[in-house]
Amino acid sequence: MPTPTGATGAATGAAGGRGQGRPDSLVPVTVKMLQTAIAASNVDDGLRVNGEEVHNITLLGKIIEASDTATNQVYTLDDGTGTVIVKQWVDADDADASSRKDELVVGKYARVYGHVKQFGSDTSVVAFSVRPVQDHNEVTYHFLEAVYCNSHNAQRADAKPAAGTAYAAPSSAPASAPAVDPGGSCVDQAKAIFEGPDGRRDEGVKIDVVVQQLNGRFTEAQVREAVEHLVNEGHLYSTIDDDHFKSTNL
Amino acid sequence: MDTSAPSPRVNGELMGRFIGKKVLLVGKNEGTDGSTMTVRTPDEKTVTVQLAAGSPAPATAYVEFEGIVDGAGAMTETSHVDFGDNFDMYTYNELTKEANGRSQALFM
Repeated sequence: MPTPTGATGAATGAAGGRGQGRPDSLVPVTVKMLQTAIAASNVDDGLRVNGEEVHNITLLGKIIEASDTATNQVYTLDDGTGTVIVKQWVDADDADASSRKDELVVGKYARVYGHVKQFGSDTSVVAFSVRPVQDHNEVTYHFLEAVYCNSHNAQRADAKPAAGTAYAAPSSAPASAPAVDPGGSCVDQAKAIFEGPDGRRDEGVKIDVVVQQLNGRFTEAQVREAVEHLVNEGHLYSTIDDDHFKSTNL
Repeated sequence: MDTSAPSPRVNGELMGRFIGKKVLLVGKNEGTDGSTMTVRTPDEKTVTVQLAAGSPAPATAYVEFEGIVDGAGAMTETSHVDFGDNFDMYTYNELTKEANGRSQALFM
């Protein structure tokens, strides 16, 4: 695609792991998204989309009105979700801008990069750049990118509150796990239990507990034999008495 | 800023939801008799577009029509944009489904 926005928009979303909107981020939006964001933000606060502070935006739409004054160009853009007024200050030194202007006529699609300006109840976009869309696949691209960035940010916003409980959730799982036969020899299974969460205590695991966790798959005699083998191989050592062993791998 | 009158981006199937409403439909020109044009929609359906009188005829293979849906398979143009001769209808079709489904809140 003939535009650098994709990389910028997506990369900002991915890199802003601190959850703070970065002032240099460029967010692809629809007019509807902009409208929703403005309705949700209060005046003192910056513009927020999905809780991310948004400064620079990129829009794409059809020009339905264009007017030209000595100091600025004013376009009304319709992207199918709504209409918005886009103002661009005239830079007399920019020769490219005036040649582009000939292509920015009513009925053509334009790509806008700019920031949102709120003046009273009036909201408009002040553009850094307005350029005609040459390849209309960019239309598809822009809207899909807006969807992508939005869902990316929404997922991140959802993930934040859950972070505190993330560690707690799996704690109950290992306790029931040994009930399922993981397969393997008595030695392997006993070793797995000693290396499991129960083995982290200072005194290690008592042989009775290992037998119990193996769920009757092996007799106590078999387990003691396996433990003796593991001790001889240097995988386990006895701790407080001859019934408690701890893994050397922890 | 005004989002009170959106023009949803539709494919042939979604047109049925918007009878009597303004929509945007991208179609591939399959032939015209001057007053109507037969187009193939992104989801491979055939739609007859009543062309707006007095506006220049679509000049490229792919055209985006803005207009009112008359019924399944028929619409009346109010304006159009030439989308060129190279346009990926498959991806655009996915966009129309996304914009009228899961991500509808971003579009209307």
